[in-house]
Amino acid sequence: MDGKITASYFSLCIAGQIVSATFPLGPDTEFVFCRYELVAGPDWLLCSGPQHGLTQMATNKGGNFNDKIIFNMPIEATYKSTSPFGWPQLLVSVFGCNGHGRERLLGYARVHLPLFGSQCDQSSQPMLNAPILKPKCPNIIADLTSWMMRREPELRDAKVLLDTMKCKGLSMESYGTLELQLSTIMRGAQKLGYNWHV
Amino acid sequence: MAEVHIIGQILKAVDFVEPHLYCKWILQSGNAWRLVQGEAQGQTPVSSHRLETCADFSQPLDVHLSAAAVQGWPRLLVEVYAVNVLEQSWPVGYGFVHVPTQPGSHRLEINTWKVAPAGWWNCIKERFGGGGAALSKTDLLYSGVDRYKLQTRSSGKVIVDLNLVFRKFEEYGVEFN
Repeated sequence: MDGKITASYFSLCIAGQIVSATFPLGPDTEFVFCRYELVAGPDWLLCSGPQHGLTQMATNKGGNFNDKIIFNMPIEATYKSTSPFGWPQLLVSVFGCNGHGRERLLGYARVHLPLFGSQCDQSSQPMLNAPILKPKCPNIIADLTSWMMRREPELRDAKVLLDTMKCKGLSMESYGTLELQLSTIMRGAQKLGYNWHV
Repeated sequence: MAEVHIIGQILKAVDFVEPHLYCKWILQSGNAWRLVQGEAQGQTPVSSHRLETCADFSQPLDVHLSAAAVQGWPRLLVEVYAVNVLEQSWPVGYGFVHVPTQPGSHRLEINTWKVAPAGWWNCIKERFGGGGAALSKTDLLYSGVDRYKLQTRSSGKVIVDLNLVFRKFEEYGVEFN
């Protein structure tokens, strides 16, 4: 504290990628693509980088059915905040697409951005695995309608999954995992008194 | 006042016999602790896995606490419930874990237990999905006082990721080594 007004915020720089998706018995559709979104609490301000993104259509056809489906989708963003509360989360909606443009939901995956990401180096960086959860019909009647209408249940607002109380009563089935590699760089948190060492 | 941020997720429940599970959790702390921001309790969606016997919840947890004393260090209580086709639910696992006393990122496994069925009739009822016995007083979950009256059976595990960030504990002379 050298007399200057010290900044009351810290910044968080995220660098990483959506590496791949794995379905143990193969994906239900020919192509798979993801839509990602970064969601943070009210104190957080996105300074640079996109908040949404859409990956390419990827497939593992030609290989084994349970091979990884590689996306290699970059995620780069910088946030500014005053408090770690509302730490940014990454919400990924995974969609499938058959050859003739029919899209369907394969599920949602969510993960908190790493809090201690600057500690581990790039080479030994562990892969983050997020399960892919797909909403299910809550009862048999809904199941039947869904089968007749050829429409599968989707969440109107997938952000309920990021809330602790709002997804109560939902029925989900998990199938497959999403692999992510994320690292974060912090600046100025130590100065605010946060004990960030591991 | 010193502050604690607990950011993490209720990742999954493994090794339970029942396929459709949900988990209720409460973050509980002593009288000197105050909840500043966030929700100190939650309930996950009902979850099942297509292939394995595990239930992925991946429910976020983001709590900001302030502490006037370190007594009553926060702990996480979990109750796992099973749901059947008729949408009846009954508890299949109780457990708790203390939040680690070290800043950093932690993966915790909570080994849970359930109330053992008393007598053959309850055994049959439990086997055919009528549900096992529930605790009427959930304080048995975290207090060790009345535990000797219980007969329990071991159940599955709940896996939880917690990231802890502490603030200003040094100013009050609290050390974490």
